[in-house]
Amino acid sequence: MKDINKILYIEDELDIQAITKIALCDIGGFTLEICSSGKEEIQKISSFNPDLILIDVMMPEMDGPETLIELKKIKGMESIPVIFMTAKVQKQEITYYKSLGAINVISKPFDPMNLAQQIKNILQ
Amino acid sequence: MPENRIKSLINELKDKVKDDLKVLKLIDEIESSWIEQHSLVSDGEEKLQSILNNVYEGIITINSKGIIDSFNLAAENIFGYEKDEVIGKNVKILMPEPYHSEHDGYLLNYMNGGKAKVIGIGREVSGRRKNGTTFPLFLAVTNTNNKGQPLFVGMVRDLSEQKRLEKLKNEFVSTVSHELRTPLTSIRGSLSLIDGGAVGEVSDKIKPLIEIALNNSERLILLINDILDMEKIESGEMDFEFEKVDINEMIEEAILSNQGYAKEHNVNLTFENKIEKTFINVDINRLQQVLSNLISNAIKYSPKNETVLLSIEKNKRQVTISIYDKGVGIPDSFKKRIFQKFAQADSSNKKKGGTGLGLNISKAIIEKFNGEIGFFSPKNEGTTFYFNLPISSEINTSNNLLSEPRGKVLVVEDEHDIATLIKMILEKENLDCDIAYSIEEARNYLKNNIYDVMTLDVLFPEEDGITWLEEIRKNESLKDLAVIIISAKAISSSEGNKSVELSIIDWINKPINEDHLISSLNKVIQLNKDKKSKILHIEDDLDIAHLVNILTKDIADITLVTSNKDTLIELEKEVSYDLILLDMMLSDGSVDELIPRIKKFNPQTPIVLFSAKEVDFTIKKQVVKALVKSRTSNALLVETIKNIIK
Repeated sequence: MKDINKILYIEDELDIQAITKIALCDIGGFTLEICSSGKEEIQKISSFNPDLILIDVMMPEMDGPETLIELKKIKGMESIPVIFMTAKVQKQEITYYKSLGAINVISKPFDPMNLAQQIKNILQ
Repeated sequence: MPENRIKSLINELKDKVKDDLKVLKLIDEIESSWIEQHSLVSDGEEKLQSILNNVYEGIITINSKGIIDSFNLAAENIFGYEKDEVIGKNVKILMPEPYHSEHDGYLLNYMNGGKAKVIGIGREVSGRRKNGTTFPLFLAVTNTNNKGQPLFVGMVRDLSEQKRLEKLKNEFVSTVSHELRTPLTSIRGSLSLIDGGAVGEVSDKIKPLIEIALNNSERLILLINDILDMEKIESGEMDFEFEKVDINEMIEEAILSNQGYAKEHNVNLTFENKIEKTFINVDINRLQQVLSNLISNAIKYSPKNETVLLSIEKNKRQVTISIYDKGVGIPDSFKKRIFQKFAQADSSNKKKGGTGLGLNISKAIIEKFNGEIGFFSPKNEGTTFYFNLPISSEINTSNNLLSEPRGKVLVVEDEHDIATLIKMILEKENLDCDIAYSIEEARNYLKNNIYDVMTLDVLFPEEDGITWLEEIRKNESLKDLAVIIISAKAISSSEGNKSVELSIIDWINKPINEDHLISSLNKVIQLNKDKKSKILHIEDDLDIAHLVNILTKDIADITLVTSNKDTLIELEKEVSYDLILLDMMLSDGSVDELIPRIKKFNPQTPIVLFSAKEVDFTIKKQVVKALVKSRTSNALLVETIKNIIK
């Protein structure tokens, strides 16, 4: 898998956004683009051209799975790996996320000190 | 006889004898006594009717054909029918499918002596109201007689409201728990970043406070996870993905994942005895959750630099996994509550970081696996938590689980396909079987198990089967083991001679003729069954010895020895016993020293303790069963012996 530099992160909770930003930019050294809702993200995606997309599952307007389905419809997006971040990690839920095309799931609450490493491990 | 008819008869009678005052007086007396009795009965009936109409539960009675003959007020309210609409109708009208169609069958089956499904038991079923809606209801039925005719009395309680509340509660718990995780993600995340130095140096004064906050946020996360698990178990929504796995692998994995935690606490974590491959049917993640819970508890309560010991024991039907720690043990006052929610022995345990839900969840999970969980914690002797799980056959033939295997066979065969074929033939015949793919593996199996028959291939890359057989025949405990050779090589004349010498029962050529193999096996197993087992009974109380002898004379021949000294003499004779029954206290001293000697001479013979008092764990570990005389009925003793020598 090619090196990951740019990550698109979709999360509606501002506090968690801030933490993830430190975890991925300051500790992990990634470039991060954050957006708060599914719709906004769809518009941004082509210009940012990310290597990886992280999506929260429970969001008010368009939830994670819906966002992913929309994403996969955009040309050129099919091949960008998607990881869900969520507190809903029951076995059948994980199976469902994967069936939608997510490569893996990071469970919340996550440890920000290890988040970047966790993502690198998944991508390996 | 109706009341009016009796009254008119009395008047008729009075009219006939109107001149005889004496008789008239007698009739008057009879009349007033009848009136008194009659009013008592009707008072009673009225009272009974009033009770029936004022109880909270619906009460319905039916006859043996299912026809309703009474229906109280509560039943009217529950089902929405008036009494007159249902009396004389079949009770099926109160039931949705499938009960509706099946009810006549249930009744008929019960009347013909079949097993009761609700009668005398009570259970949750569905009911149907007059408006066609169905609802959950609790039904308890008792069976009585009225004028020689069977009468069924059904007590029903509408569970709709209770179910609705349960559902609300479960949804609430689930939502709250998920909602709690979101702020916790931020709290724990921020603290972790500060603690990890991601945002600059933290002063020595602040650092301990950050750690306190971090530890407690982590505890809160564990608590929420446990509450969610518990709620899922209670609402039946916890998913279990059952698969067959080797119990040894499960224990090894659990040890590996808890090794770090043990190191943190300076505790050694040891797996004492691996057993032969034994399959259990479990959800792997959930079993690991239970093992981690029990192991981490043991580590938490173990003194530093001591060992937490895991061990497995196996019998025909189940494996028992024990986790032993040398900690202070469980206070008596706490023993009863230990599996309850939020149960912790005292507040100091909270410092140990538990949620108080772990054992409650573990118990629920083990019960889902059809197992049992328990513990023993004698004063000052540490604590052992154990659970047992039913053994599952490797090849999934559920029928085999239903009946006890007829015998146990060791298949020594290096070709995997053929070994699997033989195993399938054996399992079809309800024979339990282990496969050794090499002579080395076979040696191990023989060391730890007792078999009725061994099938042996003669051509192995590393060793010759016949030479090995010659070797094991020298071993006292294996000299009589029935052996069937299964080989691609036809029998040579020199091997023919050896066959007799080595007591080979049969020589079957490959490709295997299934019928030939089965008939050979059956012969051996029948022979083994006819042979009485040999028990060595070490006991100085002659009354008890006599009793045991009487109880077991049909299944075993007993050799009795009454002292340590005589036991040693008997052991030197190297007789192969099927069971050794041992009293712990003999007139010439305790038998603690005797157990290692017995094990040396009869390494495979199971030992059962039959003693006046409870023995400690170190001794218990060395025997298959420890029975206490005062707590063992004759039936239990015979049953235990039978199960072991079978």
